[in-house]
Order: sequence, then C-alpha cells, then structure tokens
Amino acid sequence: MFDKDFRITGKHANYWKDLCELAGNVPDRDQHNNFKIFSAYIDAYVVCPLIGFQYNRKSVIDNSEEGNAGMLAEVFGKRRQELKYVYQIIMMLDTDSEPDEDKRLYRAFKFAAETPEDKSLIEENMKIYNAYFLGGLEILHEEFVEQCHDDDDYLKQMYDYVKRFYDEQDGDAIRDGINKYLG
Amino acid sequence: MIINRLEMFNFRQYIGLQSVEFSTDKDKNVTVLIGVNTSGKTTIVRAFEWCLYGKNGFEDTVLLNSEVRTNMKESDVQEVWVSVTFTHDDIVYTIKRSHKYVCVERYTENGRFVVTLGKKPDENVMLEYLMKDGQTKIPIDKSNIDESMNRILPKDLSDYFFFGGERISGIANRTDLSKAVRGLMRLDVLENAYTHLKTVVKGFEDEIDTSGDANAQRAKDSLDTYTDRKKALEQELQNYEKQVSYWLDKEKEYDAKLAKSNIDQVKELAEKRRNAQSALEGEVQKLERVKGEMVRSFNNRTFAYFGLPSIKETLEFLENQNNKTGGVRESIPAMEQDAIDFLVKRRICICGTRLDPGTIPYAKVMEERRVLPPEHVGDAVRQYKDKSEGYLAGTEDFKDNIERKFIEYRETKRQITKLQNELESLAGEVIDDTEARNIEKNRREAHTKYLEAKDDYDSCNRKLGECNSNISNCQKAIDKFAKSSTKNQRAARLIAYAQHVYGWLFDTYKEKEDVVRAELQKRVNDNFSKMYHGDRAIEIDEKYRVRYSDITTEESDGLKAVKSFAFIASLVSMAKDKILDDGDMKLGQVYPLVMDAPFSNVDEIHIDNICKILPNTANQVIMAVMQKDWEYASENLESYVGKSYKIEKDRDEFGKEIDTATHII
Repeated sequence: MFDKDFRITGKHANYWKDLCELAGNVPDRDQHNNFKIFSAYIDAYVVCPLIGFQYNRKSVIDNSEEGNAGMLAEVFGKRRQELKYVYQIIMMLDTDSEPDEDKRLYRAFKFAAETPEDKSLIEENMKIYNAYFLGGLEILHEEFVEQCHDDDDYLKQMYDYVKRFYDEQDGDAIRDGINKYLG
Repeated sequence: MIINRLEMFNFRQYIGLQSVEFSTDKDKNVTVLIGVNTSGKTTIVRAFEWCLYGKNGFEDTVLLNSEVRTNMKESDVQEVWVSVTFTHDDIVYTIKRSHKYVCVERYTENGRFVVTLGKKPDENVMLEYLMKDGQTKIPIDKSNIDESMNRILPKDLSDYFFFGGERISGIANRTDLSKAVRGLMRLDVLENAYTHLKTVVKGFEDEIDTSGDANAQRAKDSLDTYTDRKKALEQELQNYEKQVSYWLDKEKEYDAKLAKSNIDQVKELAEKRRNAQSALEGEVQKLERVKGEMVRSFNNRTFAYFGLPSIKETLEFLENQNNKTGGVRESIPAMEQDAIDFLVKRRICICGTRLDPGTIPYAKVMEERRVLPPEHVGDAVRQYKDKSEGYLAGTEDFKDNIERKFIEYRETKRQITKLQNELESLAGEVIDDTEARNIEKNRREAHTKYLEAKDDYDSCNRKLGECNSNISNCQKAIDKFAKSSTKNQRAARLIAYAQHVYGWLFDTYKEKEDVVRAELQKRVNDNFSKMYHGDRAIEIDEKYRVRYSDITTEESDGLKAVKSFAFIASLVSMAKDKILDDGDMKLGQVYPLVMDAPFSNVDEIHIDNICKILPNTANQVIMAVMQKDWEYASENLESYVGKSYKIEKDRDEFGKEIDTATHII
C-alpha cells in the first residue's frame, strides 16, 4: 500500500498539474503555469480523497483528453503515515462500497496482505481511495482553476474556501465533538 | 542401478524377516526365486515398487502380515517394512520404508478375532548411502528422497524394470513409448537441457527494456533543444542586463542632475520620490513573501483540516463499535493475549482473585483478552486515536493562520497601490523651472524603460532557470537509460550464448535420437527373430511402438509378451552397451530387470529362446518363476544363475499350507 509508483492519465492528470507546483521535467509546463495552491503532487494526493469523500464525489480516469502525471514510490515515504490515516478514514466511513460495519472496521485496520483474500481486498480499497482522489481533484479544479485568473483571485479563493468550509461544517461544534471522544 | 539385497519384515504374506541377496556377479547375473502359484511371487515385485516409490498395488492396502495383525491387542503397535540395498554409480544406497499400524479395536465375531487398525498408518522413509570407506552412512534429507530416487531410476520408467507376466504383454502396445525410450537412454537429459534453455532465453528477452531506448532518444532530443535554448536565453539575458544597467545609469544620471539643481522644489521632490520608491520595493518583496507564507499555511496539515467532519465521524463509528457487544474496545496499552493466557493458566489474577472457568472474573479477563493484540484491532484503534490527536493538534489555527496571512496580503497590496499612486502624483507635480522639467521628463522615461527592461530580464532569467532544470532532468534520464542499455546489451549477449548452446544441444539430441532409433530397430528385430519361432519381422514407428512388418490380424498374449521382451531387452541392452556415450558425455546406464512370472503366457519354445537372450541383455536379472516354467527355463539359464531361492509356506499340524506364513529360503 502506497509503495509503488503512481500515475494517472487524461483529464485528471492535467487537473493535478493545475493544482500543484511542478517539479522536475514537465514537458507541458507552459500549459500549467497558473498559481498553485499545493506545494507538490503528494500534498494533493493526501487531501483530495478527503475532499472527494466529504462532497461524495468519486470519479474515473477520463482519457478524452491527453494527460499524464505521476509520482515515484520514494515520494510516499515521508507521507505514508498521513496517507494511511486518510485511507483509514475513508475505509471506515464509505458505506457505498461496504454497508457492513464489521467489514468496514476490518478493512480500515488491515494493512498487511498476508492472504490472497487480503491482497485483493487492499487492491479494491486502493481503487476506492483513488476514485475519491479523482473526485477531489475535480472539486478543487472547479473551485480554483476554473474561477481564478490571477494570483489575487487564487489567494482570495483560498481564504474563502477555507472559511466557507469551516462555517458550512460548523467547525466549532465538530471540534467540541472530537474533543469529547478524544478526552 | 544394481540391486544387492531385499529385506522384508512382516510384509503381506511374508512373516518375520526375509532377506534376499541378489547376484551381482557379471557373468552369473541371474537370481531366481522359485515358487508355486499364489506363493507370493507378485508380492516381491510389489515390495520393490512400494519401497522405492511408495506405490501400493494391493487391493487391500494394509501391508501388515495378517497373522501378526490378528494377534494384536488394543493399542498394540506393529511395524511392517521393506528395505532395498542397491549400487548406483559405485555408491551403495539403502532405502527403507515402513508403516506403523496401531490396533484401535479388537473383538470376536463368529468365533474369529477381528482387529481394526488405525485409519492411516504412520509412514517413514529413509534413504542413506555408504561412504567410500565402507562404514560411514550418510542419510539423505527426507524432503529430497523422492527426487533422489527419481534421478536414480525414474518412477515413470519403473514398470519397464519391475513387471509381472501379465503386465509385460502390454508394454510394446502402449500408445507412446517415446518418453520411455528417451528416459531409458537418458536422452531426456539433453531434452531437459534444451527445453530449459528456451525458458532461459525467454527470461532474458523479458529483461530487455526496449522502451528505454525510445525514452533515451527522446531525452537526447530534448537535451539538444534545451541546450540550444539555453544559449539563446543566455544571450538574451546579457542584452537585457545591458539594457537594465543602461537605463538605471541613465535614471541615476538624471537624478544626479536634478539633485545638483538649486531649486528647493526639485530637491524635495527627488527626496520624496526616493523614499517612496524604496518603500515600494520593500512592499513588493513583502507581498511575495506573504503569498508564499499563505500557501505554506494552506499546505500544512490540510488533510486534517478538511478531514475534521470525517474524523469526528470515525471516532463516533469506533465508539459505536465499542458499545456493541463483543465490539471493538480499546485495549490495555502494551499488553498482549499471552499475558492473559498466563494468568488463566496459573488460575489466579494479578489481584489475587481465582480465575476458574465459568466464573465472572474468568469471563471478564477473557473479554479483555479478545481486544488484545495480536488478533484484535483494539490496539490499532488506540493508535488511530493517538494519530488523530497528533494530526488535529496542528489544525486549531489553520483557518486563523490563513485569515491572518490573507489580511496581511491585502494590506500589503493596499500599501503598494498607495505608494504607486504617490509616485505617480509626485511625477505629475509641475516643476516651475524649464530645464529641470526636461530633466525630470527624461528621468521618468528612463525609469519606465528601466522597469520594462527589468521585467524582460526577470522573465528571461526565470526561463533560463527552467531550462537549466530541464537540462539536468534530461541528463538524469539519459544516464538512467544508459544503464538500462548496458543491461540490454548484456541480455542480448546472453541470449546469443543461450541460443548457441540450445542449437548445439538440440543438434546433438537429434543426432543421438537418430542413433537410438536405428539401433533400436536393429536390435528389436534381431532379438525378435531370435525369440520368435515363426517368420515375422517387426519394426519401430515414429513413437517407438513395435509393429509387425506385415499386416497381421491375430496376436496372442504369448506373441505380445515375446514382442515386449524383444523391445525391453533391446532397450536395456542399448543402455548397457552405452551406445550414446562419447567423450565427456556419459549417458549409458545400468538397469536391473525384476520380473514376476515372466513366462506365464509364453510357450516352451519361446521360454527357451527368451532365456538364451535375457542374461546377455541386462546387467542383472531377477525373476520369480513358477516351478513348472523353471523346468524349461533352467536349461538355458542354469549357467547364468548366481543365486537361487525357494518361496515356501509353513504347514499346520495337518500338513496344510498356511497362506499367511510364507518364507524365502
């Protein structure tokens, strides 16, 4: 899990590039020279699945346009704990893919593929994670890239988006709720 | 392989220990075991098959002697074993296979004892070889015994060496004998080698990564483009640099001229402008810094911030699971199930309470045990909560930090606009002195030009930076593909080697197979004509099946047996004569022939003929024959017999033979 090179193609690859600072050899850099809200691909890969999940948006690869973007396995190293944490959240809560509570609990805490069944379970789970990742990319692309023209727009939208999320979700109440469980 | 000795202990009708030494003499190479019908001749061949390969050919699969079995009492254990000592490539091996039977029940039915044995006997196999010193025995690892036996005498081929009279007729009529022929002549060694090389070649082919070449070419092309671009950009940058410094100097020059002016108004304006200009530069820098800081704030634990509602839900979910009966609970930190097992075993809890099954304290600790690692997720749940706490700790100020940075950004922007306006209005102020006005006009022009040139310079410099990073990436890509290209070259060389060796082995194989076919044809015909008293000739087809040259309609079992004898005798003699050996390639093998009632379907004249040939074809002949057949056979075989045994049964007090008490003497 989170230990192999990861690559996507098509529309979402371009969305990914639009949202993140581009490092290394990117041949179509000029087409993605807008203001970036994420410092690197990996930042979007950690956050987007949660955004996709929050707004119930899953997606599939759309190769109707050309695009190609990816990360090498090494990139996961430092962020694996965070990735696994986000993965656990989605595995516990995504009732669409698994209505049974016990099974959701099991899959959220099953990281080692000791049996062929577990291996295929984890593969399925990764598909869910990535489907929400693509959904999250779409949401953020709509919120930012499609609405902003210059740096000023992006920064304003960044502030608005963060604030709106807090108000919409009633952040204070959530914090109180969380503190209750974490004691 | 030459068989030295067979030992049987309580094996089927043979009671007690039977030991048979076989003749290993080169000339007197025949061992004969003579018995009446149903005396246990077939059992001898089956003892070999069971001991060497674990093949149990009996209808009633219990191998233990019936008399021994009948005398067993409940939970008695009795052993049956067979051991074969043989010589292969000058090394003496002993293989021993045994079954241990346990009596689970004993009762009387209709006045007879009935003994029920445990369903599956305990099997043990042991293969060892004697070192050249003739004393030290080295056991072969149990997991390798089957493989070792298969190397010495392949199981697939065993029925060409261990066979009963009724089985021999079928041999020459089998549908495909090529595998047997290749095996016996050890041509399969060559065949396996060249088949293996095919997979080796395939493996190397898979290793070759041709995509690397295309990528390398692309990277090289890009490198050329970027290198050209870099040169052009450097040139451009130099021009912009010159322009920047030219217009800056000009501006300074005009500034200096204005500063020299004696008019106070001009002096004052220049001072104000300088101040505003430097403030503006400071604010522009600050704006960039604040933008960067805001993005950094946004990228700090963003997942925990946007995950807040979901995290709350997961904690609720875990709490619900916890409340469910037998659900997930947090476990006692750093405790594992072993600890509870220990307490339960000693039956006293840490607090001194007795832990007897069925009591409440027992139920409580067992309930605790269920949530402990390694089996349960209890520990993982606690870790999840710890992680949540850690990640959330960074998010309390997330929104406020972004807000603060955004406010700072807006203020800085406002400040910049203010300063720009100030500069604008300063520039618009009317200077009374005509000459000074002209200088100021030129200064403004120079300043505008300077700003334009600076913009161009910055943009060109950015492009140059990108170009440099692209160049270094291309270089890295080329290096990486160069490495894979070296690997490709190596794989290509290895493929060439493997293919060459494959060709060599394949040609040798074909060449040798031709020799085998021609020689087998010759020998089979030769042997057949010596054995068969009619006038028929036989030939071998492409699958090595034996056919009559003329189309014949009738074939008696006797004729079939003669045909098979001719075939086996020829094959074994070819192996013995090492017809394929050349130079370092030693393919010749030594095989024994172990036969049970070989002549049961054959008439006297054929027995006579076969016996003239058999001792000369194989290195060793072991045969269990019926008394009446031996009378015909002995005439020709007598002079080749090195050892001879009789199979006899004990008799009861009335002189009647006891079937379950057979001996070899």
